[in-house]
Amino acid sequence: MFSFKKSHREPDIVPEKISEKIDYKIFLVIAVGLVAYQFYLYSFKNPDDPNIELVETIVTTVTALVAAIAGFFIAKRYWKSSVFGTSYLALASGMLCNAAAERIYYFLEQQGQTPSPSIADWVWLAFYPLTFYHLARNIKFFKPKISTPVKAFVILLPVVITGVYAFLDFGQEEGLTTNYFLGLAYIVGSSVIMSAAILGAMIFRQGTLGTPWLILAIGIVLTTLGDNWYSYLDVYNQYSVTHPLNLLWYGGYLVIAYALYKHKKVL
Amino acid sequence: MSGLDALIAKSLKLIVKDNLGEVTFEKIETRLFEKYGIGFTQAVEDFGKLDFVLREFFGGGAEGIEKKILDKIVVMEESKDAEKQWITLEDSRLMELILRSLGDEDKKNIINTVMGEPKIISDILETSNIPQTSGYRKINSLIDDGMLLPKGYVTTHDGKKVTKYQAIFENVSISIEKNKIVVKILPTKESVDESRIMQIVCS
Repeated sequence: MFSFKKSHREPDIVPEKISEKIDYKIFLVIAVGLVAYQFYLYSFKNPDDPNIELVETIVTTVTALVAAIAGFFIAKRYWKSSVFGTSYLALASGMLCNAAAERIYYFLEQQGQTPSPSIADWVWLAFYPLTFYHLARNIKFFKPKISTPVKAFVILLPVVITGVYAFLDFGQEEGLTTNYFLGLAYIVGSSVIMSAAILGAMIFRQGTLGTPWLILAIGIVLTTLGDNWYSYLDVYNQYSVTHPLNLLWYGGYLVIAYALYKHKKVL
Repeated sequence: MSGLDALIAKSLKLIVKDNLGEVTFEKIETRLFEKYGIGFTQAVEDFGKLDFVLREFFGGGAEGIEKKILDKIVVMEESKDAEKQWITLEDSRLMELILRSLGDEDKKNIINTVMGEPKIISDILETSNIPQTSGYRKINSLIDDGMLLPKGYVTTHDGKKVTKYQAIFENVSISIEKNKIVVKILPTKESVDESRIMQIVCS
């Protein structure tokens, strides 16, 4: 005899409109982790303890690597596609450059060589064109025409940020030195990618892809804040490895990794 | 589905797959099926549904994908007068459709009759002096091809509403440039305002 079991499973309901929400718990976990890490650094009695430098290098490298691995995973998912495939490969490579630069800087410092300006700076700076390529490739494909007010905002934002820095730093540096131009290059790179990331988030904001792009923009804004803060501290010689500004970089990298995870979930 | 729609569907599939990957295409197709119960090719025919799903995923970015496909079919001429923008047809099937309609004496008369001024079918037939049987057939063919658009109603003495029709363009230019036939149309403002696809082309 056949017997029928009554299913109590609710039927799947097709959503009227698909949406993707940001899980704010992830931000909380990142924030709590970073604050705990900062207190751990403060627990070192001697601020010149070489272990602080080592721990800082490991944390920067690992956080940047997490974002790079997430980026390569996404690039592999869209392998051979000309927009997503290449743009995510560029972003992942940019994050890898951050991790590599951190290792080079640490290595040069351990060898007793001047870590900056050095090859490490070039590797760090490579992050900006690679990330800009990622942003510009997507923006150009999805929004070939941008209105004049938006265009003006996107251009003016980095111009103002760079202008303010150039003016303040010029008064501190002894003329147009390598350090002056190097500091300026970081400011230009970070403000340009921040501006482009905000534009990207604006373009996709009505769609589900808007969520990963908003998270990506938050991540890039955090790293840009870190870059700007560092540049100003460097001008006044106030930076140290235990400075809380480092948390902006780590947080930025981890948030970018979360954005990449969200992208995978959405598409 | 018309040949033109099938052509657009194929082009759109390739654009999505080549630029955004196979996975993205599958996601879009799955959503189209669960939301409307249609496949990708059918969605091209019902462009509003495809536009809705693309916007669900890409927000304002959907315009970029749509514009890339439409640029292969029609190109908007640069013009200072926003209300008088000529459109060059890039797709040979679409060109053929227009040339065939204008090559038919009766169809050409029908189009001329409703260029600028909307009319009900009986008035069109009367003005263009076409026999009723073939006239109805040719008007229906023009409506199916999208050459004529419904534009308002006329209420008859017994209270019935009869649809008026108007041509989608107010001028057509056909020329031969370097051994290539170039067909340009000047669409009416109404046809541009009412068409989602034309809005994208014009943007």
